[in-house]
Amino acid sequence: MKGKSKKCRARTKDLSSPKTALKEKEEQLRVVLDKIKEGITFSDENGRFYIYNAGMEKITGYTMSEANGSLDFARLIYPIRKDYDTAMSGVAELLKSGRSREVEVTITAKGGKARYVLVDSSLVKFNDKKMFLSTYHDITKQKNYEIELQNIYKELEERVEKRTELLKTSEEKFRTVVENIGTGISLISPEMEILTLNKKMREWFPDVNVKNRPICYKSFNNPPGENICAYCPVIKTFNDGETHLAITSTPRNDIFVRYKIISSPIKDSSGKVVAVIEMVDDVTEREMIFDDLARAHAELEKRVNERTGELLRANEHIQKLSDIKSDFVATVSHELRTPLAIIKTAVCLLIDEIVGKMKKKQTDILITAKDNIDRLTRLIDSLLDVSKIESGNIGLKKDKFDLIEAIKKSSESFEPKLAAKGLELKMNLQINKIEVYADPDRILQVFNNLIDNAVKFTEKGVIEISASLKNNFIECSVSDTGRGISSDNLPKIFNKFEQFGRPVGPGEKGIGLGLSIVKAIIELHDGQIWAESELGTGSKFTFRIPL
Amino acid sequence: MKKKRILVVDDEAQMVDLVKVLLDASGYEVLTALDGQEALEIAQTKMPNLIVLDVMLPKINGYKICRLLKYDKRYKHIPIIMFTARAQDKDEETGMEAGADFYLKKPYEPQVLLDKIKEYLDKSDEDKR
Repeated sequence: MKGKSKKCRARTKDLSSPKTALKEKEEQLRVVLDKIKEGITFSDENGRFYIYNAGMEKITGYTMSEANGSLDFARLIYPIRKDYDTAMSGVAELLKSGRSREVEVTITAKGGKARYVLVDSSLVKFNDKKMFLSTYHDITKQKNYEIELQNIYKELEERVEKRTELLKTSEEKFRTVVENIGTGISLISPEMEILTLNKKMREWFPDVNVKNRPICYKSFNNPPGENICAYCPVIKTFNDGETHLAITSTPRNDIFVRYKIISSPIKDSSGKVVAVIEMVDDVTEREMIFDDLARAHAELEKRVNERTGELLRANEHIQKLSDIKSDFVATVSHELRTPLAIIKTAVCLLIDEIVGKMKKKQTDILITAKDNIDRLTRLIDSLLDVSKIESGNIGLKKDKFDLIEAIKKSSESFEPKLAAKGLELKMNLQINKIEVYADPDRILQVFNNLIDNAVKFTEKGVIEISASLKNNFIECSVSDTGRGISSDNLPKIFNKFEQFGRPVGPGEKGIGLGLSIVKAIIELHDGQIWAESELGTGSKFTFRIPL
Repeated sequence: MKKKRILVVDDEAQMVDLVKVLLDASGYEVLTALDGQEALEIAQTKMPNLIVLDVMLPKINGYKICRLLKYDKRYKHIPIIMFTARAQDKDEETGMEAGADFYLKKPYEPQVLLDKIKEYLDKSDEDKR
């Protein structure tokens, strides 16, 4: 175009003034054409350009002379077959119909850069020649936006598709879980219609067809009931919007099936319950185990009660036997005492020579008889004591008294025996009066028993009686220099009917009740008693009772 | 001095005989009874100075006789020595509650019986004066 304009200028120099005016017009046209953004060309059938404006230079990167200089400019700017064909088909169409047609093509500009262009060509008759007037509208920018938009759209679409797929999969998963779970699930409408059933529910209630909009309490109750179930947790959930639980008992195939029903609300945004999910578990087996457990428990309780009753009866029986024994011992004691009393009276009458003078020898024999009557009497007393201790009928008659006096009274009664054996009695009394609160007769009995034992098992030496006041108790002991008790026998010394080292020869013998009675008496006084002994050296019995 | 009159009550005839021997020898006039009813009649008609009274008696037992006499102002001054083989503490309590002056358990020391008879007779004489 530059070349042409030079030619024009060269020609215009040679022309006169009308030619100058034309030249001005041409210059104006050129300026106008170059100002237009679109590419504008005016070319002939052979592809030679007569007008090739600045806009076209910008779009293609080629000048007019370069365009005209190329053998086939179309091939140059449309190296891609598709674009060339599009452009050429446009030209062919134009030639054929004469109608202009806009085509979108991709131009490869100088330097290889692609440009998207809308080409609008029209056929113009000029000097009997077919000429082409074409405008090239660069839409590269828009096209790039469009492509970018398309890409974004495509990407978006892909993402949507992916998400949809994902949702579809997760919903499917969820549906599969709900469908196949071991819990029966149904959805109930506020009209109590069954909306959905999962597989488990269909299995349990094969006759229920959701399509018929069945009413739940008519469908699930078997045999079908007309009334709304009294226990129904679903109704409760519709009423208060809370989750509820119920365990039902439904007859099915001749057995009662226990269902655990949990009803949960589905609420709309306003909090209104629009449906209820009913989750149903067959707990028949579990409930049966509970029933069995309850039955076993009841049975056990019954047996425990029976056994307790038996024990109570046995206890009563034992108590009765014990009472009978006590009564028996008391009666026997009375019955034995009566003849003994007669014998003793008789013997004493003789000894005291109330019915006539006695020879010394006769008196001695009668005294032996009397001693043994007394011994038998003491034995009966001991048996009576043991019986009372065992039946718990021994009552203490507590009183304030002087313990020292009781010790003296007891030891005095042994003076004849001590003298007879040549034993020394030593009193080791810390103070001369100790007032205690105890049963005086029983405490005297304790001393009598302990001193009697000491005398019985000691052949020579000393019997020592001690009494001392400690913090809040009194400690008394009776010790001897007798034969002693072996360490094997010592722990058994307070047992009933235990006898160790029965003295040989003449002298009193017991039956082994004395120490067991002594121990019981001391313990009844909340005291303790113990024995220390060494074989061949002696024994010491000590007791404590609280003040 | 007039002999003191003592009523000895026991269902064991042999015991009664032996006690009679003992008391005779000590210079007492001895009346005897073998059952409760007889004892009560003699006590009421013969007015003894002292009664030695067994508990286990036919017809009326010793506790009841003791009570009947001790709650009757005509006889309540008569000392009563319970004389029994019922040796349990609760028996003695019953006896003392019935109003007995002394409770002597069998078998007994004859000397103790004599001592107690003398003691209560003396006391009775003192009360009269």
